[in-house]
Amino acid sequence: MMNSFDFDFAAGLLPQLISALPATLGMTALATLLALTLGMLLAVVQVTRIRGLNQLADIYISFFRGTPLLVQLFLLYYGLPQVFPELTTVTAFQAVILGLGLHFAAYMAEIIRAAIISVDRSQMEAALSVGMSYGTAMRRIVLPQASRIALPGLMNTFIDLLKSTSLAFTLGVAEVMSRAQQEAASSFNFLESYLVLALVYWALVVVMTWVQKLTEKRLGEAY
Amino acid sequence: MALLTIENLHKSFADQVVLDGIDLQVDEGEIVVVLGPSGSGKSTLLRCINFLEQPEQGQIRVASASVDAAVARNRDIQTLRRQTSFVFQNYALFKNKTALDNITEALTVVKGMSAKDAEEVGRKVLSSVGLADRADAWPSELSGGQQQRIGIGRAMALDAPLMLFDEPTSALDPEKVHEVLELMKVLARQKRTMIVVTHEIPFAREVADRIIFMDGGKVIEQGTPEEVLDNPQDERTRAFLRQVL
Repeated sequence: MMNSFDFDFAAGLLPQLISALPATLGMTALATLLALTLGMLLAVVQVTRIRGLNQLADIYISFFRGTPLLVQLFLLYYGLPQVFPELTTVTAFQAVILGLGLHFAAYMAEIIRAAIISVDRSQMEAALSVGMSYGTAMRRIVLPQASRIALPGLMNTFIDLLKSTSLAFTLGVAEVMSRAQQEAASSFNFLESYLVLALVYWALVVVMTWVQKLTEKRLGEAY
Repeated sequence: MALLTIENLHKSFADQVVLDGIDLQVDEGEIVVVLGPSGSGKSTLLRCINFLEQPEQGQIRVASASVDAAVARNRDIQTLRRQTSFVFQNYALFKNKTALDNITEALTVVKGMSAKDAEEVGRKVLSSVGLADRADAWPSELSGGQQQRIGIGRAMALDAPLMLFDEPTSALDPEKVHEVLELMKVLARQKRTMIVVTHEIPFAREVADRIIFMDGGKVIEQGTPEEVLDNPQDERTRAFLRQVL
């Protein structure tokens, strides 16, 4: 027997999911900030081949790309506090931000590194020739050009990160996924619950893609 | 008075010797043109003077800056670079900056000028290279000749004691070469100290105080344009000139 689709239930669920969005968006924003900052540092360390740090960056990227995100989150939230008791004060919300940030930094580092080395060497040479230090040349000339090249790849990772916040429900964070799951379980309206949930994520990604298009246009005006 | 002094400069790429003990002095206000077949080390010499290439051995002094290649520290290299400006074969304009910003960037960031003063200098330089109306153009919107004039303008604005030109017309379409050479002649008349690596023999004859002929990483001979171009002493110079003249 097939149940008919419960539109009233779906319509009623939507505002509930929206009310849980701040947690999802908050984790996304903070984790992205962390991932971008750390990713940029890792990329610069790799491009400049700073001895010692370079090898550490290699190991870091290898580990965080080489193990599942869910395993990393469990390790961080359930595992580490057994060794470092002071970490028990870290909330699930904070652990997810840290976990997502550390994980996606590894991917962003690779995208940024590739973008930096794709900027023609003469750009760095010209900046040095007018008297800039290496760091200033990187910041003022090379990275702005690399950012345009990196944007589509970073956006992909950003979208992936947003959707990966749904894993936070396994640590007990009250975000959209956990809210949908509760409603589904109590009403048995699984199809409606998860479909509405899927549409909410989709809508967010559509908005972000639109922002990406605008940004690409702005960054591309010099070319 | 010597503005540039190079002593015993050595540079190799892997096991290939590119500069084999170069000694050179350039006086203030002097215009030196460096000629030589490709692979003779002339571009590398120019790039070693401001450490875009790191020489293994040798002493370089420009104005008040002095660097011993064997023990060069970043700070010394940066001080040396600020005594020179560089014009690139492929222009190398900052692609993320407008024509005007290409010129003002170093004035504000490196020389600490205010944005207003830098813009004033920038606009003056733009009009002296004949591109006052293209201040807001992106490099991608300019022709090769225009880009190179901006490249020269960027170097002029720095007002460094020594200007280095690395084959500034080699990447240009033949009909654009003229506009860049004319601009360089103006700089020559202003008695700026310049070292120019080029294949433009008529230009060398017209503006050079001294021509240096290089081959195999060594200075083979040097002298006035008449001496080197009309009465070359070394067989290698004669062979080169037979091919290019």
